[in-house]
Amino acid sequence: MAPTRDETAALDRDLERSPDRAERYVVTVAGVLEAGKYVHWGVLNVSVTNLAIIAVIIVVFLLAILLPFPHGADDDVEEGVGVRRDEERSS
Amino acid sequence: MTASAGAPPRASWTTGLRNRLAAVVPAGQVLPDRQPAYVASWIYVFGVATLAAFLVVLASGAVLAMGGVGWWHTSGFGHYVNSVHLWSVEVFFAAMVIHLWGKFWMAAWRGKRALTWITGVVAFVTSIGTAFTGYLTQSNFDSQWISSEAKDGINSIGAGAFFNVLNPGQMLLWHVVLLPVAVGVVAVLHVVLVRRHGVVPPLDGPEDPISGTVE
Repeated sequence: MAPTRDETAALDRDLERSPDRAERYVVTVAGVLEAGKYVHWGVLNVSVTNLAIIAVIIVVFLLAILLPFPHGADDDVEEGVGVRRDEERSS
Repeated sequence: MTASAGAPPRASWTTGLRNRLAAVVPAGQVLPDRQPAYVASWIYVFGVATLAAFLVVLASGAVLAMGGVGWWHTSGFGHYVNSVHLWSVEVFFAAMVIHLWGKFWMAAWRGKRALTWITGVVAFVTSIGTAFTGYLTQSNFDSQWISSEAKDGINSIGAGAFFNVLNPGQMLLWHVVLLPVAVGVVAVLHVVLVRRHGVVPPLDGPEDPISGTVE
């Protein structure tokens, strides 16, 4: 998460008063920018947020496969090959 | 200029191009309103959702471009637009991956549709490159860290001399011009090929109306 404008301004004022506080400035900003928790698995290193997003994508994919697609009342299904009759609907 | 009566129309590049464009997609298939029953699948909804998300990515990216790379750090509205850009990219990739997984298990390259499948894969890979260069244009510590980590990988494949991830100006132009144009062109080709060859029938489905073969 990026620092707010107030936080950045306060750090800038701090730095101007005492330039030797530069290290503290960097450390503080780095702390604000802390990206969250990570999961380590061998060579893999993924944030919990990204892992959750990947899990949601897999769940949505399974739902897309398993959930029946809604059919309109004007669909004409005949021997497995149906057509949407938009032309008839509009006429 | 009008052709004289009875004379065959004179060949010109305009006529040739018009005839060629007209033959790209079968008659009535540019924007069809009738589709086989097997097209009623959520997998195609995610294909269209990918295109819709791409438009939001382009629009939010255009607003960010007007403000410049540092704008979103100091503006509340800029921060909002940056978040819209990020999350539309998340939706773009999620929808594209679901569409890709679905089409993989449908073996969607059957019936002379290999080029349709290949353009989809190229669109996916090009989109990843676009997203990665986006990481490099955030103008913050994150982009500095990623670029310094990425340079060794790029150098290891010998591309660092002309694709310098430590050059924010170059990465910005790749991100906002070259790669989005490439993704857009490949996406248009993909959609045109879908319209040209039609949607692949199920593995145990009816005869392919395009290739005339039973899969």
